[in-house]
Amino acid sequence: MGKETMSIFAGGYAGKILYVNLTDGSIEKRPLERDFALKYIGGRGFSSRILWDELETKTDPLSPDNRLIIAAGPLNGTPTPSASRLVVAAKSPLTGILGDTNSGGYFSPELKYSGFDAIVLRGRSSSPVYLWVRDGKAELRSAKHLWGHKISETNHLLKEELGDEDIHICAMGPAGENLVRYACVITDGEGAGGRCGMGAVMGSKNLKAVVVRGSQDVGIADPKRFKEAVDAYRQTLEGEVWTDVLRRLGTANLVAHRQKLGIWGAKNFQRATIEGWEKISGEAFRERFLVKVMGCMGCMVRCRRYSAIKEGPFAPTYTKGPEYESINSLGAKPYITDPAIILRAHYLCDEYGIDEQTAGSSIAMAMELYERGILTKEQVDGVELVFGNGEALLHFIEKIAYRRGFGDLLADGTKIMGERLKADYYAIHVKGLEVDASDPRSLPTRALTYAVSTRGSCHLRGFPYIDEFIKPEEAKAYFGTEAVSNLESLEGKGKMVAWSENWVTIPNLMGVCIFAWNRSRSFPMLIRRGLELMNEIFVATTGLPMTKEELYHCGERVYNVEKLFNVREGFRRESDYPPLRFFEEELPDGPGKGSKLKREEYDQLLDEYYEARGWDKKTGIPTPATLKALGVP
Amino acid sequence: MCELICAFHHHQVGNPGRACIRVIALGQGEDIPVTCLNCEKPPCLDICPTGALHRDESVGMVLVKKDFCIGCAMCVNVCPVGAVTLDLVEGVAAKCDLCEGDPQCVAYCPAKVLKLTDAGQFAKYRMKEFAKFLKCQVGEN
Amino acid sequence: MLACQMKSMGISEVRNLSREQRPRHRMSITFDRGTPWVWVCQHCLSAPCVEACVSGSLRREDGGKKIFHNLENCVGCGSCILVCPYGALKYDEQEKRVVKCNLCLEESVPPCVKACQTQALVYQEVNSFAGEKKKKFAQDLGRNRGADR
Repeated sequence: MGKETMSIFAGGYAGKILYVNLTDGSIEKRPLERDFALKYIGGRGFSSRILWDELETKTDPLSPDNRLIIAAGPLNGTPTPSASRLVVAAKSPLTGILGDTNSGGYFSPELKYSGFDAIVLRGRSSSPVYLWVRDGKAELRSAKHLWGHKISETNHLLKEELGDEDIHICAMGPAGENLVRYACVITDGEGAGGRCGMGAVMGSKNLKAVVVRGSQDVGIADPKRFKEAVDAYRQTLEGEVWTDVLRRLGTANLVAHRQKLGIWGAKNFQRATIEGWEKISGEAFRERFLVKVMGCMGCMVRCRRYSAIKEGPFAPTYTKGPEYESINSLGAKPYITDPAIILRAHYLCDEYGIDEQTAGSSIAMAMELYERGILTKEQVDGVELVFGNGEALLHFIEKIAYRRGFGDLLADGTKIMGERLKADYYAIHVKGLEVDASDPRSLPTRALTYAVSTRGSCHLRGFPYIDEFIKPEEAKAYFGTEAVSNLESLEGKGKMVAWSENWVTIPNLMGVCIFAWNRSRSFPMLIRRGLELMNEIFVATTGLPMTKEELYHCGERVYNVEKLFNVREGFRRESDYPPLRFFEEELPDGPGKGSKLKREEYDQLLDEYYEARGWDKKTGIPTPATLKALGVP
Repeated sequence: MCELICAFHHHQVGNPGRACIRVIALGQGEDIPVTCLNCEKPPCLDICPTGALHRDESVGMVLVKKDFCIGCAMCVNVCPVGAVTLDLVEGVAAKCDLCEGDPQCVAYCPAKVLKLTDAGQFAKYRMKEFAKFLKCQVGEN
Repeated sequence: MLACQMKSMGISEVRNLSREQRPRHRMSITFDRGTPWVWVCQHCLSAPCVEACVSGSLRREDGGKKIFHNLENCVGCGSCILVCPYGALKYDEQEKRVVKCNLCLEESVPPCVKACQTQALVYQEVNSFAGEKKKKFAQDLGRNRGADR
C-alpha cells in the first residue's frame, strides 16, 4: 500500500488500463493517454471508442476476437454524489451491434481503488478462469470450482477462497455459461449489467468473474473547488420531488404513471392498461415486501430496494429490487399481476444471470404466439403458455438459463424467435433489443428515442420527456422554436431528442447516475446539474481543462462513434424505425386509445433528427463534415 | 458517503479505506456505521507510549499528535470497537477527530442516521421513546 | 517466548534445550498489576529505532510494514534501545550486538503465534484487525437494537 507511482493526471483517473488476453494469459498495463481522456472522458466513452478501434467488421460476438470492456469514469471513487456506475460493453451477441450496460453499486469505485480506469479482455481461455485484480496487480485464476454455480454461490465461494469479505465481484451465472444470448453480468449479487448479452460474451471467453479490491487513493486536483461543487449539487436536491419519490418507492413508482397515461406494453404490446395494476404498484411492493431502502455508493437518492417474500410458496426469497423494469417485463408483458411471482422471477433472473427484460419479452412473445396458435403446446414443452400464467414464466426462466427444451429457442431473444417461427411481426424490438419502458404509440418522440438508440431499443439513451415541462421561452432559446414545449407538436422534437442523447451520454462517461444528475421537471435544472455542475466537478477532480460546451461535444462524439460502429456493421436508416406493430395497430384501450404511429410523421421526425445530428438523411450515416468537427476518428 | 467524505476531509482524496468511520454490512439490509465512541476512559490514550494520543479539551475528543506518533499500532490493538486504525500512507494512527466540531459524516449522510450527541442526551431520547412506547401499550390510564 | 527462543537457536525439540544455552532475547513477558504483557517489536510504521540507527542495520521492508534488523551490520551502539518505548531491542552479551524480532519471515506464521495457547498473540494486518473488531461491535449493536424498532 502507500503512495503508488505518479499518474500523469492530477486527479480522478487512475491513469492505467488493464489489457488481458485470455488466450495466452498475458496481462498488460497500458497508460491512459491524456488526449484520449480529454476526448472520451471515461466509462462508455472508453468502451465505445475501444470497440470501434479494436474490432473488425462482422466479428462474431461469441468469438475470441470480441472484446469485453469494463470501464469506470474519472469521478468513480471520489465523494461525487452517486458516482457509483459501471459500464460493461462488448459487441452484442443478441443484436450484432454495439452493446453496453450500465449498473450501480460499489464495483466501479473499487476498480479505481485497485488502480485501473478500465479493463479490456480479449481472446478465450482454454479453461474456466476468473480475473483477480488487487492494488495494481492482476492474475487469472482457475474458476473450475465456480463453473455451474449461480450468482450468490459464486460470490460466496470467491469470498471464501480469497479470504476477504470486501471484494467486489462482476460475475456471470449459468445463463452466461450456456451462451444465452441475453445472459447478463451481475455485480455484487445485486446490480445487473442487464441488456445486450454481456454475460454470454463472458461465457464465450470462459471467464466466470472479474474480482477487484483496492486501497489506492483516487486523487482530487482541487479539493476546495470540488467541495464547493458537491455542496452546490446537494443544494439543488432540496425540494426535488423526483428524488423523494425514488427514495420512497424506487423505480417502481412509475407503475402508477404508466397506468395513468395508458402506455403499458402489456400482453406483448396488445394492451395499454392493466387490470389489477394496484397489486403490482410501487406502493404495493413497498407495503408487502420491502425490507429496506438501499442505495449505491455515495448516493443521496437511495432508489434501490431490498425485498423479501416471507410467506407463501416462494418464501423465503431475499432479493434486491424489484425495479420498474422487473414489473414491466415480468409482469406487464406476460400479463402477470401476482407481485410474489414477479419478485420471484426477478430473483431467478438475478441468480441465473439473465436479462429480465429480454426474458420477459421473449416469454410474452411466445405467449402471444401460443394464444394465436402459431406455437403448439407440443412446441412449448406441453406447458399452457397463456398470458397470466405465472408458473409458466418461472418454469421457462430456468429453462432459458440451461437452454433446455423450448428454452433453447427462447434463449435467443425475440428477433431470432421471429425469424425462426416466421412471426417477426410479434417480435417487438429495434435492431434486436426488445422495447422496454413504455408503449410509444401515443408518444412519437419516445418512439424516436427507442428507434435510434445506438444499442437497440433503449429509453435511457435519450431524454425525450423534455417537452413535458420545458417552458416556451426556454424552448425557443435552446431549440429555436417554442413548439418544442408543445406536447401535441412534433416540430423541433428531432432536434430535442438529439440534444438530449448527447446530454445524457455525459453521466455514462463520468460514472455517475442519471437519476441523481439528469432528472428534473425544470429544464434549467437539467443544464445546471447535467452540464454546469458536472463540468465543475470534472475539472475540480481531474484538473483537466474542460468547458461545459466541450463536455457536451464529448457526449456527441461518443454517440457518433457508436453510430459509426453500427454503420460499419451494415445498419442504415431502415433500422432506425420502431417495430411494425406500432404503425399498424392502434392502442386498444386507455387514455391513448386509438393512437398509433404515422409513417409520414415519423419520417419527418427522423429527417429532422438526422439533420440536427449532421447525418445523411437517406442513409443515416454521419457526414464527413460532422465527424471532422468532432475530431473523429 | 460518510466514508467518502471523511477520507476526503482528512486526506483530500477518494478512498474510503482511509476513513475514520466505516459502515459494516451485516447482510440482509442491515448496515451499521462504526466510529470512535469517545470513551470517558479511553484505552487508546492510556496505552500510547509517546503521548501522541491526547484529549483535546476544546473538542473533547481524543486526537492524534502526528509528529509524536511512531505508528506502533498499540492503540489499534486496544480499541474495543476497532475505531482506531493506522493510516498506511502517513504512517501514523488515525481516528475520528469530530472534524473540529463539525463532523462531515453527519452533514453528508443521505439518510440522516448519523447524529452528534452525547451519552446523556441520547439516554434521555431513548427514555422518551420508551415512555411513548409504554403509553401506547398501556393506553390512556 | 519459549518458541521464540527455540527458533532462534534452531531447536525444534524442547528436550534439546540445555541449561547452559543462553538464547537471544527477542521477546519477553512482564506483568503489570497481575496482567501479563508481551514485550516484542511492534514494527512501528514510523519507528524511532530506524531513525536512531547509526549503522543502517535497521531498515523498513515490505512497504514500511516490517522493521528488519540485520545482525551482521549491527555495531551494538544501543541507540535504538534508548528510543524504543517497548523494550523490543536488547543487547546480546555473546553477540555484542542488539537483537530484535524479525517476524520469522521464512515461516508462514511466526512460531510464537502458533505456540500461544490462548491466541493472545495475533499475526494479522493491523487495519484488518481493527475491521474485525468493528464488525463484532456492529453485530453486538445489531442484536441489541430491538428496542428501537
